[in-house]
Amino acid sequence: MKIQTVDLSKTLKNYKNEWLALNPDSLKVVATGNKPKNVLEDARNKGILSPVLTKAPANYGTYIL
Amino acid sequence: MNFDYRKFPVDLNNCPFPNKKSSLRPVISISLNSKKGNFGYFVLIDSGADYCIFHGFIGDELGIDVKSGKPLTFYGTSGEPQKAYFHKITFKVGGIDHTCMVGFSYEMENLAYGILGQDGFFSDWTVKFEYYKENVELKKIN
Repeated sequence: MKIQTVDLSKTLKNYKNEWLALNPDSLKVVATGNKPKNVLEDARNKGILSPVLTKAPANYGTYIL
Repeated sequence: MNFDYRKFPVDLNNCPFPNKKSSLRPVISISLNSKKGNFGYFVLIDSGADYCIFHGFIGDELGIDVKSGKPLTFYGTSGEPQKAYFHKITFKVGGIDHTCMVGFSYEMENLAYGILGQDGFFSDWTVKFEYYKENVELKKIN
């Protein structure tokens, strides 16, 4: 099973230091905010029942984990 | 199951490679179940991590008393100590239930996603990284 995804670099580059809820199909941003609980609630109120949650950090930078 | 790598933004002011537009990472979406419904959460499949670590909020959303869990002090490459609290949870990977101990941390605000590490994930899944195909193949053991 191959799951198709999108280029998140284009979707996420305009957001910093906030939580984002994405449409699970299109992976477009549907809600943003400082509190993840509210972001999920906003997305559900917009009809996205299973949003995907992610954090836009202050700087995506480079990770060596 | 095959999952595409995902492209994340790069900081153009802090990148030694001028033509690099994005960073390819083996980040997948897992599905979690809270009282308010399902939601997805991005996680990095990280062979260099000892444990699975998620943002503390995820534990809150699942109704867990995060700080009642067994504590762990862990370190990134900066050497700065961070705290996580471990609980056993179940989530779906590509539609398949997976149960393991996950550390929840309120000190990973600079990371966009959670981490699936050796104990709890690589211990239960065969993982095949294929960067050149921008693909990661996962197969649950047992």
